[in-house]
Amino acid sequence: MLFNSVDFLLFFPIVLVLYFLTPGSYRWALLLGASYYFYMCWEPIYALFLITSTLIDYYCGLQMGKSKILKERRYYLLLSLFSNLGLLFGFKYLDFFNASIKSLLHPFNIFYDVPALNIVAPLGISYYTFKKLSYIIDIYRENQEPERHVGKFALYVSFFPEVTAGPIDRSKVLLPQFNSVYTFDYTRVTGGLKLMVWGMFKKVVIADRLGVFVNLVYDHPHDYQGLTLVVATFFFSIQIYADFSGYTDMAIGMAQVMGYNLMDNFNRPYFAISITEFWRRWHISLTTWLRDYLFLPIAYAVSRRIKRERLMKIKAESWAYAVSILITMLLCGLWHGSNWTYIIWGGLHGLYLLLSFATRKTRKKWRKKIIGPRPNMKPFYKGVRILFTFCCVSLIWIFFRANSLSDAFYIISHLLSGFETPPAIFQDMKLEFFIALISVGFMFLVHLFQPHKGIRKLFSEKPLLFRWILYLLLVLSIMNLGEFNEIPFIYVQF
Amino acid sequence: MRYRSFMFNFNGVRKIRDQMSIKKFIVKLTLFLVITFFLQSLLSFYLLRFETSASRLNKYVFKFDEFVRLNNYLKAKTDIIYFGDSTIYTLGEGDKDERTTAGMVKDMTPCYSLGSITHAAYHMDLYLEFCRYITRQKNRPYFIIIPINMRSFSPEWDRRPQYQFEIEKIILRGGLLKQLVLAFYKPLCVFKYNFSTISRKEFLNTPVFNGSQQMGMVRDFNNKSYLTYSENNLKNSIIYFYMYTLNREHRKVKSMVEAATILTQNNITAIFYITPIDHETGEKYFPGQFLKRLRHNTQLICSLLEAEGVEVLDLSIDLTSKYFRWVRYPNEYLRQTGRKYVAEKISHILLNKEIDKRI
Repeated sequence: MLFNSVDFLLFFPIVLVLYFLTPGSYRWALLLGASYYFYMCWEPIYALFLITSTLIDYYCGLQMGKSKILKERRYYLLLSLFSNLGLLFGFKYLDFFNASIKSLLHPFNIFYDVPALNIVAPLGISYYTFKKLSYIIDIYRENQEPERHVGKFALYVSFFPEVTAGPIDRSKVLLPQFNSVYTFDYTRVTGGLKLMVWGMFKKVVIADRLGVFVNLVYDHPHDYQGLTLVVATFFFSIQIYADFSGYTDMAIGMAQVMGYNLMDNFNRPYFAISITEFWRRWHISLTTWLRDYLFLPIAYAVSRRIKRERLMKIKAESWAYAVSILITMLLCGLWHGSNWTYIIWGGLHGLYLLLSFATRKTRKKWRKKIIGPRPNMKPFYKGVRILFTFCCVSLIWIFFRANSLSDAFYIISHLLSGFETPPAIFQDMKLEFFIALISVGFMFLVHLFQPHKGIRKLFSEKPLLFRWILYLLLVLSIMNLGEFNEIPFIYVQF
Repeated sequence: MRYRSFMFNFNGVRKIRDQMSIKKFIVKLTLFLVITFFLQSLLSFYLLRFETSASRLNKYVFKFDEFVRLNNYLKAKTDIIYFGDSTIYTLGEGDKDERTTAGMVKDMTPCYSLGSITHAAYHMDLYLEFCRYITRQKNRPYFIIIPINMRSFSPEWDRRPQYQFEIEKIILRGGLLKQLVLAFYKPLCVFKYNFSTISRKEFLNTPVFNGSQQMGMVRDFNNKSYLTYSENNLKNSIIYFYMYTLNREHRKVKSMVEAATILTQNNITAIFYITPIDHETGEKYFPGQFLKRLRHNTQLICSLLEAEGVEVLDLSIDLTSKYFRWVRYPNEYLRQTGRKYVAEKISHILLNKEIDKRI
C-alpha cells in the first residue's frame, strides 16, 4: 500500500477516526494492528519475519536490562546483532555476496557457483533493522531502559508511517510517546495534514514527473549524450530529494496528526555550502545513526590503536577520521542496496568528505585572502558554494541511479559531449517539462523562504484567504498534475 | 475534595474544548472538500484535453480524443464509421503507401464520407458500447465497419487488465457516473486506482487452452519470452494467441452478436469482417491443427452473425505470410499489399451498397 494510493486514502482516515474513538490505553493495540495490516498489504508472509525478529529483540533487551554481568549482556547483544544482521544479510546481500565472490575468483579459474536465491527482501528491512539495533545497543550501553510492554515495542518497530522508509527514529524518543494519550488538537492535526499534502505534492507532482524523464534517459543511457545526460542527472538529484523528503513529510505529518513527533530527515540539503554540511542535512536519521553507532566507535577504536601522536607525519586524530569516515560511507552505500553502484557512491562521498577534511585549513586561509573576513556572509560567494556543492553531489548521484557501473561510466564520460544537439525527449514533452520546471521552482522558492522555520509555520503566518488558495492549488495540482505511471518511492526499495 | 472538583472541571473544560475543535475541524474539512470537488469538476473538462506524459508513454491510458472525434463525425453526418484496433493503422517495414486500411477504404469509396475510430487493443466489448452510443444519437451513420480480430478472443487480449477500457465504457454509457468519472479520472489515476474489472492476479491465473487441453496459465505464457525469437517461444505464442476453441458463451462473442442485433434493429448496415491472420506460420508449427481450429472458430462467428442477418466477410485465411509484418511472433499486422487487399474487399461491399444509400 503506497502512501499515494486510493487504498491509503481510505486506510488512513479509518485508522484516524478509530484512533480518536479508542480510549488512550488501548491505542497502541489499534496502531499495532493497523501497522501490521499496512505491512501485510505488501506481502503477508514477511510479517512473520517482522514478528520473529521483534520478539527476539524484545527478549534480548529485557535480558540485558535484567543482567548486570557484562559477559551475559554481551551474549544477548551478539544474539540480537546476529539475528538482525543475519536476516538483513540473507535477504539483501547474500546473492550479491555470492556473485561478487564468483566474479572475484573467476580470473583464477576457481569454481564458485552458488545458485542465486532471488528472494525479494522484506519491505523496510533496512529501516526496522536499524531501529532495533539502535534500541539494543542503547540498552547495552546502558543509555536506555528496556521496554517491558511487548505490544508497544512491536509498535515502535512496525509503526506504519515509518516502517517502509523511515525516519529511523530512536527508541528513546519514540517509545515514551506511545505511553502518552494525545487528545484532538486542532492546530496539531491540521498542521500534520498540511505537511502530508506538501509531501504528496513533492512526491506526486515533482518527483514522479521528473522520474519519467530520468527513467527514459537512465534506462537507455547509450541513446543519449551531453545536455540530455546533464539535465537527466540534475533532474535525478531533484527527483530523489522530492521523492524521499516527500515520503518523510507524509510520514511525519500523519504521525503528527495522531500526536507523535518523528524526527526530521531533511533540512534543505541542496542549500548546503559544503559536502560536510550536505550530510548534516540529508537523511538525518540515517546519518546520525551511522555517526553514533558506526563512525564514533570506529574512530575511537582507531585512535586507541595508534599510540603515537603522529603516524607517517599525519595526526592520529586525522587517521581516526579518515579510516572511520571511509568505512562509514562505504557501509552507508552498501546499506542502500546490494550493488557496486551504491558502494562506489558511498565511497566517493567518503572521498569528498576526506578531501574536504584534509584541505579545510588551506581553503580557509585562501578564502580569507581572496574574499575577506566572514566570506559566507557574502550572498554571491555563498551562492557559488551552494551551486558547487549541488553539482558535486549530483555528479555522484549518477552512480546511485545508474543501472550498472558501465552505464554510470558511460554517462560520466559523455556528460560534456553533444551539447549542440537539442535533447529530443524534452522537445517531445514540452508541457510536462514546463510543469516539472514550475513545480521544482515553486519547491525551491518555498525552501528559500523557510530558513529558520518549518513549512507549516511559514504557511500558517499568512492570511486565511491566501492559505486556502494555496492549499487548494496544492491539492488540485496533486489531483491533476500528478503522474499516472506507478513510480514507487525510491527509498522504499532499500 | 476541592482539588478533585477542580480536576473534574478542568477535564470537563478540556473535553468541551476538544469537541469544539473537532467540530471546527469537521466543518472546515467539509467546506474544503466541497470547494475542491466543485473546482475539480470545473477543471476536469478543460484538463482532460491535455495529454499527460503517461498517456504519451502508455498507449492504454484513456484518451479523450476518440470521443471528440466520434461526436464530430456524427455531427458531420458521416456515412461510414470504421472501428478498429492497431492492425488498422500499423504499417509494415518499408511501406511506401502509408495509408491505413480505413484511409484506403475512404479513397476507394469517394461517394461516401468515412470516419475511423481506431485505438490499440480496441475490441468487441467496446465496439458494442460504441454501437449503443451511436444508436442513441440523432445523427447516425449508414454503415458501421467492425473488424473481428481472432486474437481478441484469446486470454492474452480478452483478459488483460489494460485492455478492458472500463473508463471508455462508462463514458459511452453516459449518465451521472460518466460525469463523476470524467471529473475524477485524473485524480484516481494519480492515486493508482485500478479501473479494470480484472485484476492482474486474475489475469495471470487465467487458463490457456489448446483446444480442450489446458496448457498452463497466462503467467506461464505472459513472460515476454515470446518477444525473443525461438522455435519454442513461437509455438507458445501461437497457442497463447490462437489455439483456443471459441464457443457462443464467450463474452466477446456475445458482445459481437448483441452489436449486430442493435445495429440491425436501428437500420444501420453493419459490415463485420474477420481480419486476415498469418495462418501459414500457424500451420507450419501446428500442421492440420491450426487451420482446423481456426475454421471452427471463424465458422461459429460467421454462423452467429448470419443468423442476425448481418453481412460478414471472412478474410482469415485469404493472405499468405508475405502479406504480414513480422514481429517475432505471428500477428495480424499487414503490409501495404495486405491492407490494400482488405480495403478492396470492404470497398467492394460498400460500393454495391451505394445503391441502398441513394434509394
